[in-house]
Amino acid sequence: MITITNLTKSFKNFKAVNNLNMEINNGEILGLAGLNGAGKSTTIRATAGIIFPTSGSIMVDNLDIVKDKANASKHIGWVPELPNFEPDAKPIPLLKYYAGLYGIKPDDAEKDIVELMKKFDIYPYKNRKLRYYSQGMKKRFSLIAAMVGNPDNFLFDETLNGLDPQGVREVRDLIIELRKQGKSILLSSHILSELQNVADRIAIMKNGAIIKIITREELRSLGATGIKVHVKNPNGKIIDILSSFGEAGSDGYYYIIKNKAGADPSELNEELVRANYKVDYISMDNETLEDYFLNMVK
Amino acid sequence: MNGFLYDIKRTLSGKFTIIVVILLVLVTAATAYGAGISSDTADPAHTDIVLPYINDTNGVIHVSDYIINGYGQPVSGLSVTSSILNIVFHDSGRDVITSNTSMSENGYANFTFNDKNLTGFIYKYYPYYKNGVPEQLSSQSQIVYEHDTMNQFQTTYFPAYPSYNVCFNDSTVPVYAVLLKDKSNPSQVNTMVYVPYINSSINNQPLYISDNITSSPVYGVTMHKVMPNYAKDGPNSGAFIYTTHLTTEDLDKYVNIYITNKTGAMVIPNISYMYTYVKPGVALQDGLALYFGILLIPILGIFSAYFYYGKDKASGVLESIIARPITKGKVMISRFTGNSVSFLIGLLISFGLADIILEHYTGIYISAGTFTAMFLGYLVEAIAFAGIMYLITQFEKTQGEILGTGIALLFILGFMWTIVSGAILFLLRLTSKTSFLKDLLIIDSISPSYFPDIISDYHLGVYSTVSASSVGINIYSVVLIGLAWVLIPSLLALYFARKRD
Ligand SMILES: Nc1ncnc2c1ncn2[C@@H]1O[C@H](COP(=O)(O)OP(=O)(O)O)[C@@H](O)[C@H]1O
Ligand SMILES: [Mg+2]
Repeated sequence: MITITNLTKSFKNFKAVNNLNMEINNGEILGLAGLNGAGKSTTIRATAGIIFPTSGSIMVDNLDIVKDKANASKHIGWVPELPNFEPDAKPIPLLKYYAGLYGIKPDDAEKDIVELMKKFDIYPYKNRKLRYYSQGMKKRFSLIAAMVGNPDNFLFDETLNGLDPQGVREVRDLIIELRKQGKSILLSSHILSELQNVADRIAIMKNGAIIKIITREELRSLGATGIKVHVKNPNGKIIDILSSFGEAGSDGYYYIIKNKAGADPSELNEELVRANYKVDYISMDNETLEDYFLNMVK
Repeated sequence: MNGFLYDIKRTLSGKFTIIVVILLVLVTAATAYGAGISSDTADPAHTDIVLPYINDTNGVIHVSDYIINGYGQPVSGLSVTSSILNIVFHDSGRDVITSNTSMSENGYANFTFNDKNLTGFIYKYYPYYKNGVPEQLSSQSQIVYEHDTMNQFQTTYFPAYPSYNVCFNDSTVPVYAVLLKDKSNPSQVNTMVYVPYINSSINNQPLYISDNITSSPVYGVTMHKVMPNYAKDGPNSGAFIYTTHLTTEDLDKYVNIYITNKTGAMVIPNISYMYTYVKPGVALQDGLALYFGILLIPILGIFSAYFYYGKDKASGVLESIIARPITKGKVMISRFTGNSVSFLIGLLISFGLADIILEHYTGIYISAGTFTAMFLGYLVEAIAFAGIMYLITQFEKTQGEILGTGIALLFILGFMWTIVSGAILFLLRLTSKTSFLKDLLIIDSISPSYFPDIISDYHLGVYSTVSASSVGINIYSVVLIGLAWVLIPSLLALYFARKRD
């Protein structure tokens, strides 16, 4: 569990994070959404103990990341936005060195490392220096590195960003698996829809502060389908019919029916035809999460 | 793996460390080689010096050559070749009356022949042998015996060791003054006074030996009434060895040796030689001072700190470690230890090899004191430069900034420090010499590149032209400056590493 209380981080006079409060529970994936520069990475880096908070506190499993850094760090795995490792190191010795910092014996460490490397498909490159790893291989290595010491809390900074579809699925599966194990997970992204299918809650961040936290339920309705209709012979009565399917409106050309779960376009089509409307367009329509998000953070 | 061990191993196996250590080793080895071959190769143990005594009694000429090695020890088993020539010069040259080879025993090679009523003769011999082979000088030395008087036309060569001077003070008995090496201290020069044991006026009185050191040579002194070090009881006969205590302060000055009787009258002309000999270790130190302390060590310190800490900190590589159960301070300490250990190992390899090379060429190892002074001096300097870089790194954001400052440091505190310190002294407009030197010392202490000089000044006891202690170089100040260089930059760096992002 991670508890962030009144976190402020200033760079000179600029507040990159401003009085932020956030809690990530065990077995929960918290999405952190915000445009570039919103302060996501700054929040994550402070939580990982890389930078010092200007004020406020960050507790990781009830250990203060500033005052009890070495102990608190045992409980945190961080996958940075831009993985940056010793370029001249080879993966296994480097991971063993990391493991040593957790007090893990070299032999035990090596066994786990090899297993993880196999799982993430980089074991064949075990003799290659990290300098020569491709971007994707580096990301995978970075995931493994975060899992050394089997921490209970994970910080994924834009980890899905820039992965190919298969990579996205793998990481998503990994994150979901970690949640199953009861870990608390923070996953940031500047694309809200990336978080849509993984996060239990999404915190929306703007100018260093959280402006809204969307729960899983709200998330569902946000992602719910609406119906978009066009008829050749509209008249005033059509609204009555449309309204029985949801909140009806028009954008000047299409009618749009929103916010009703289970609304079925084929039923609507039947009703409209029965009332002698000539339907020449009907389709499911998403008010995408992204539109909603952009409206909010703009 | 233990964090410290990992960092040490990583630093040691890093490309930069390997390149610089190889560079250090090559430079040190080359300098040691230079110091070795240009140092005195006289090889005293295998140099033999022949000191003849000739006695003509009742038509029989007895020659007794006293043979010693370069340390003044009597030599056995040297085959000495000499000849007797008729003093009368014919068109075809001089008649060789006899040529003889005799084996020395306990220092003496003797032979006897009949003078055949000659008016005079010449004893022709080789004064020096190297590994049993006579040194072919421009001509052999000759002792001329004519009308009951001995004289010598000797090929002497000063200031090089070995050399000697001889005088037949009372026409028959020679007094030799021979410059020798000191077996236990290669930087000392000894003078042996040798008078063959025979009954004559010269050895019925005690001889006195004294020396003084002058900045220009002393020629042809026949009387030396003022005896600054008057006097050491000399021998009545036989060989007596006197040591002139020479320090680095005496380098390139003239050492004058006087053999007198008790009234101060010179028994033989004085010997005056220039003292150029330094211990090979000191020669190595002098050679290294030209570019080691002001260039190579600063490069090692500055760029090791850059490559193994500054660069990683600026590029974010360090974050991948800081995210682990370790503090920023500990990461810094570990890296700094890695750097320091690599300096230590690099310098040990360099000086160890230099020592072996010097031993090969000169037969002696660098003295423990010189080795320690050199090693500690450069180690402290490298650590200090690294510490300064670690400190700077805490305040700079990009690799370029850090590298730029590092290069600036190399210029200012490294090879341009003489100019910088000269400019400061000029601005201070100092007049008195001692205060000038004191201020120079203080300014030198401001750059770690001068610490090796300070520790070596302490070791040798000389600072510039005055004694080290007169300007305040003593064990306390040296330890204090050394500790300051090791601790202050690194501890400040540690303080900021723990406090800052
Ligand atoms: N070390 C730093 N020094 C100065 N400004 C910084 C630093 N790190 C981040 N910032 C600024 O803080 C703001 C938030 O950055 P960041 O947390 O990286 O945003 P995000 O990850 O949400 O894109 C940005 O305006 C960024 O420029
Ligand atoms: Mg970011």
